[in-house]
Amino acid sequence: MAQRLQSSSQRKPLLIPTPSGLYCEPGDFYIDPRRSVAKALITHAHSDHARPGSQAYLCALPGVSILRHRLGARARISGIQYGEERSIGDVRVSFHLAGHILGSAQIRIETSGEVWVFSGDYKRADDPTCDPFETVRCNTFITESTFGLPIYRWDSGARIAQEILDWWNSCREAGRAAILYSYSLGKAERILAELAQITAQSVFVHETIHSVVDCYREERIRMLPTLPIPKEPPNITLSGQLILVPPNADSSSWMKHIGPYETAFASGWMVTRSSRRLNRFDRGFVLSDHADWPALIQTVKESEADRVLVTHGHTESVVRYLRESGFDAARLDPEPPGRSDPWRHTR
Amino acid sequence: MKRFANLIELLTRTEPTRDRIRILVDYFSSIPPEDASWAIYLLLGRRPKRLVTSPTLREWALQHAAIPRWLFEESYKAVGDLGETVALIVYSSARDSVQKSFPLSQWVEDRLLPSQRIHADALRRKVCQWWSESDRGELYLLNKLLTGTLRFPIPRLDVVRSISQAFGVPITTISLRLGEDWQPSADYFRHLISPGGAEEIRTHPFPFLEPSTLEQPLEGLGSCEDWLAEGMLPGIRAQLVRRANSVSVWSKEGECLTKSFPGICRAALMLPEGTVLDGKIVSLQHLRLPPVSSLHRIIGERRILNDFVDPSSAVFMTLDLLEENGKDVRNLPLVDRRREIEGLLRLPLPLLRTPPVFEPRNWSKLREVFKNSRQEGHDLILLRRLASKYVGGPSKDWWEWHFDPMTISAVLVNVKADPREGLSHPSEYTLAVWKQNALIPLARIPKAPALENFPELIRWIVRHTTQRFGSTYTVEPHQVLEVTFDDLSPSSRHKSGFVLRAPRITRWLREKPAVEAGTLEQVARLANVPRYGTSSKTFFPPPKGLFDQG
Repeated sequence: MAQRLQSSSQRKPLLIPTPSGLYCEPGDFYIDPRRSVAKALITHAHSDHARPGSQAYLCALPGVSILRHRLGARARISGIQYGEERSIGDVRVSFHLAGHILGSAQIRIETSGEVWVFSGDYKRADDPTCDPFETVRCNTFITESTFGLPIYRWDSGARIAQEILDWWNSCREAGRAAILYSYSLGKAERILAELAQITAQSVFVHETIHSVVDCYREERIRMLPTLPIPKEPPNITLSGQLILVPPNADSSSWMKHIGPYETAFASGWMVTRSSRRLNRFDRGFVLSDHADWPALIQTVKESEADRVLVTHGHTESVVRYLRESGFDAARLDPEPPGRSDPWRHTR
Repeated sequence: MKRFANLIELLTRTEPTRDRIRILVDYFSSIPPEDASWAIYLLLGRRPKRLVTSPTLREWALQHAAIPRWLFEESYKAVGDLGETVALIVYSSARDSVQKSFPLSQWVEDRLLPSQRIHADALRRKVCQWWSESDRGELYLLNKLLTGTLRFPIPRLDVVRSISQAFGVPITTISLRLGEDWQPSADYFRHLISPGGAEEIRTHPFPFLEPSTLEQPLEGLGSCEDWLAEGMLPGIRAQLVRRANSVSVWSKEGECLTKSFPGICRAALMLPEGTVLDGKIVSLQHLRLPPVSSLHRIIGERRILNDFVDPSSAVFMTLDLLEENGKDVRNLPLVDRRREIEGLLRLPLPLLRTPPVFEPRNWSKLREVFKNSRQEGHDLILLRRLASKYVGGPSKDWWEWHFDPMTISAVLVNVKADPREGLSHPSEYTLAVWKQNALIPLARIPKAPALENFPELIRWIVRHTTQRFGSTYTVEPHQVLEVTFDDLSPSSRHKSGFVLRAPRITRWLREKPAVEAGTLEQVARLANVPRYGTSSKTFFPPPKGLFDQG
């Protein structure tokens, strides 16, 4: 083991952090670049991973329509089948299921017998909107660590969906609307798909979510029927209805007209009381599209990597824990210095 | 237990009182009486005896979850509460079937209370067993009960009000019964919500008259001679009811305070049967500084104040007489009622007094008095129309004339913000003042509207955080803000030694270097203005022999 470690760490890294993002020199491309570049490989379409302005984009095939929706019609986007190998420069590249959202991928890079995998964002829990995570063996594994502390442990999506349905029902009994805040790409669709397995009622969704839901429907994801939130004071009453809204949406105009309501937020951050208490929501549902602590550690083990690079989140804790468990782990500098809010988490 | 855990969860949100009461009403009207009685017991801040110390619980959690100590500490930093960290770490998400939940009363009576006498090892095994079968909310509550650290940020009065609302029993009745000695049981709860008997109702107060706040010039009130002007010490408005061979004390919110001030009650037993007084309970500790906060603490903690031992700590300042010899006298003019009070209080009752009366000839003289009055420790002057009746509810016959607020410049040291929303939406600011070379936190101020006009300051905060603990972020000590507050009193719970009343941020002193911000000496000076009865001739002097009792 010690010999193998040495050999892999002595080699030139396949991916290096640059101000523009993670760069693969032998392939001359970037993964999830922060700035405009010539060739961008995109793990998934969330705005902190897929930024506009690059000349050409490559992503997993089911993610193309969402990425186009996010980046605009003029972006040059090509899709690649999961598992299909393609030569880019001097490396061979393939995309593999990450289970994060529809079309999300881990990116595997191979050159002369050495394999690197960049996990992107991923989860191990079941999700009806995307196929489950695929374990990819590699020499160097770059993992995210958004929820890299043992306080983060998720219940299954099905169980949370039941909690959401119970809350929705209790709101209906009390004659209130149920406003559920959730990220427009991934989380909202997952909730609609999870709920579709236990109910058949229609859900009102904010226009931002609606456009993403349409992309998901193109990919034949089964979700509850959706209706747009009426802009004018509604003719139909919204009491007893579930309404999905992105957390950053300006909801003040229509919320005035809908009568009494309760609010909730679906996110992994809802685990701690301080985050639940600090915001203005009545309920917090712990539902995340990231790996929780046990899943992070399990995934690192299953990758059988000689070397683990940890990025994006609680890097220090995960690195230290992995080192103490016998892994060769290091932090991959996640943020370039001077980023505005050092504590701000990303979705 | 699940329902109570859920209740705590809902209550700890910062919500308006009326929502809190709605939640409590929903809860009380839908649970069995034995659970309700335990819920009230816990909501009022009473706690079963601690079973484990927090450090021990931490050790058990480390073993149970098999994680290294440093990782626990990192998690603790992210969470900010020990009981909650343990709950999250020992939670196992593997099981999906909905667990059956024990009712709260069974949890306490069958599990926690019998565990008080068992050996630590056996208890540890039990706790681990409980951990493995509870959900997140229950785990948190369980850990808090085990370590005796369950605290509620909700006012006692909200609990009283919601029981009253849920079962249609007057607030005063509920408050009176909760003041008795009681142990949780289904029977007690049924007694608590049963309709009040005539005996009980006889001890209830009259509806309180609510003074208005004076904002217009004094001249608008007409002639100075028609008014009674009195200096008010900060305190708690109350009615003292001397009927049915007993005395009860009521706050204007309907809370029964009898148990908290036995000295005042014993003194009031000397009053003739059928007497009701309106007044203010004030604290005269050291005859210098009136720490109204300590009175609130006495009530909040249900502590029994032995005011015969320390007779100077709580006194009833009589403002008005509502019933005399069993006869309702509220319709008499104030001037007559006042005369009767003087007759009543001729008895040697040091714990029942009247406030100092100012007798200026005209409004401008009163303004001079007003200026000096703060030095006496007064927080306002009460103006009352001499010809007025006593009518419950808002009144234009009583006016409160408040002093200008105090200000101090302080350094921003901490902000609180939801990690998810980022620092650009702070929800609380901690400000500190200098004590020699160290900054001592002086006040935590929730969301400051004044600061939202300064996006630059928010941007500065975002870039200059140095540490994070839970949702609290340490900021480099550079920015100076002006803090305005109504009054301050000494406090042993606050690091600075003072608690500010109604603190708010009023200005961003952006040119002021942090080293020039206010100091603790300045704060102490604001608190230490000589107070109480040294220069005023009109003030009721402390009667002789006050300290000889007990």
